[in-house]
Amino acid sequence: MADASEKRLLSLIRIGNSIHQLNRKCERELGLSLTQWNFLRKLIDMPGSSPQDLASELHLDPSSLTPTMHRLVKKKFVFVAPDSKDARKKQLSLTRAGRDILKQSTKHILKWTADAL
Amino acid sequence: MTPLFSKAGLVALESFTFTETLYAFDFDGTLAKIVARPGDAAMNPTTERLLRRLNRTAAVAIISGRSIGDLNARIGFKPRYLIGNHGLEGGTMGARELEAVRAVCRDWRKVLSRKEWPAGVILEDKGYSLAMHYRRARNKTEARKRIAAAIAQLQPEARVIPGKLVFNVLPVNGPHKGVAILNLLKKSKLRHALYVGDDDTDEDVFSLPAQENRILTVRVGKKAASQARYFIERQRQMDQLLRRLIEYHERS
Repeated sequence: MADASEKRLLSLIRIGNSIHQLNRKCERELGLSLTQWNFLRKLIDMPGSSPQDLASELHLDPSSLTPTMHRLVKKKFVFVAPDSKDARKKQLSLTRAGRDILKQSTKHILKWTADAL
Repeated sequence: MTPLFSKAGLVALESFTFTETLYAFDFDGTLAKIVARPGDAAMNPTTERLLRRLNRTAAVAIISGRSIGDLNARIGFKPRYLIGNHGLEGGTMGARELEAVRAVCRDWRKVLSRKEWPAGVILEDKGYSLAMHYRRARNKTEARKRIAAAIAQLQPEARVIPGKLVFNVLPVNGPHKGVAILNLLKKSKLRHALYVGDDDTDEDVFSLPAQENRILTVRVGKKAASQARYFIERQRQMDQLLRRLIEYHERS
C-alpha cells in the first residue's frame, strides 16, 4: 500500500509524462515545442526586450534560453538585432510569422491540455 | 541609432502592433513641418487623414509644447489623448498647481517683454510655459546669447529646453514629456508605447531609463547624441510611418 508521499510522487510522474506527451504532440503537429511556445507567448508582451529580461520573466537562466532562441530565429519566428543603445546587448522581436504560429498553436495547445486533464 | 526603415527597425515596429500600444507623437517637426512662423504650423492633409485613421483602431496621443487650445485649433479630429505645454496640460497636475504655474509664467513674461529684442525674436506665451523664438532673427548667434542671458536671470529659476531656434521656458518642478508618456501609459492601461519626436524636448522621452524599453523611440532626423533608438531621415517620412502602422494593424 503506497503512502501519501509515494502517491504524490506518482502523481508528479503522471503529470510529467502527460507534459512529455503533450510536448511531443506539439512538436509533431505544430512544429513548436512547449518551451518554444512559452517563449513566444511571453515575447509578444515584451517587444524589444533583451534575452536577459525575457529569461527573468520566464524564470529561466539566460544560458538555458539561448538554444530555444536560436531555434526560433532559425524558424524565422523571432528576430534578434543589436541594441542600438548598447552594442553588447541584443533586442528580441516577434515576427509576423511568429505571431501567426503563436495564435494558431495556442488554440490547439489549450484544447489538448483540456483533453489531457 | 538604427534607421526605422531597416529590417531590424520594421520588425521591431511591427512587433509593437501585436500588443496593446499607445502611439504618441510630438507635433512641430514631427506631425507638422517646421515653419518660419510658429502660428503657421499645420499637418498636411495626408498626415492628418492617416493619423485620424490610426486613431480609429488604436490609441493615439499628441504630446506637444503647444497649449492644448492651440493644438485643438490645428487638429481636425480628437485624438484619444492630447497633452500640451510639454506635459503640464492634460496630465496629472491639479487646477491649483496649474494656476501657480500660470502666475509664474505671467511674471516671467512681464520681465521678458519689457526687454528690447533684436528684430525677429518672438516671445510666445503658451499659458503654462513660454517660448522665445529666434528663427527669424538676422543675427541668430547674438539673439541666442541675449535670450539665454535674460532667461538665466528669471526668478524663480526656469527650466530651459533649447529647441530648434527656440528656447522653451518652463517651471523647474513641472512634469516633462517623459513623465507625460509614463502617466499616459498608466492612465490608458496600455503596456507599450511608440513615441516619435524631433527635438531636444523629446529627449525626456528618449532618455527614460533602460527598463522603460517598453517605449519604442523614434527621432525625426539622425543625431548622434540622441537617446532615441530609431530614426527616420526627415519629417515627410511620417506619412510612410503612419501607413506602416495602419497596414500592420489592419493585417492583424
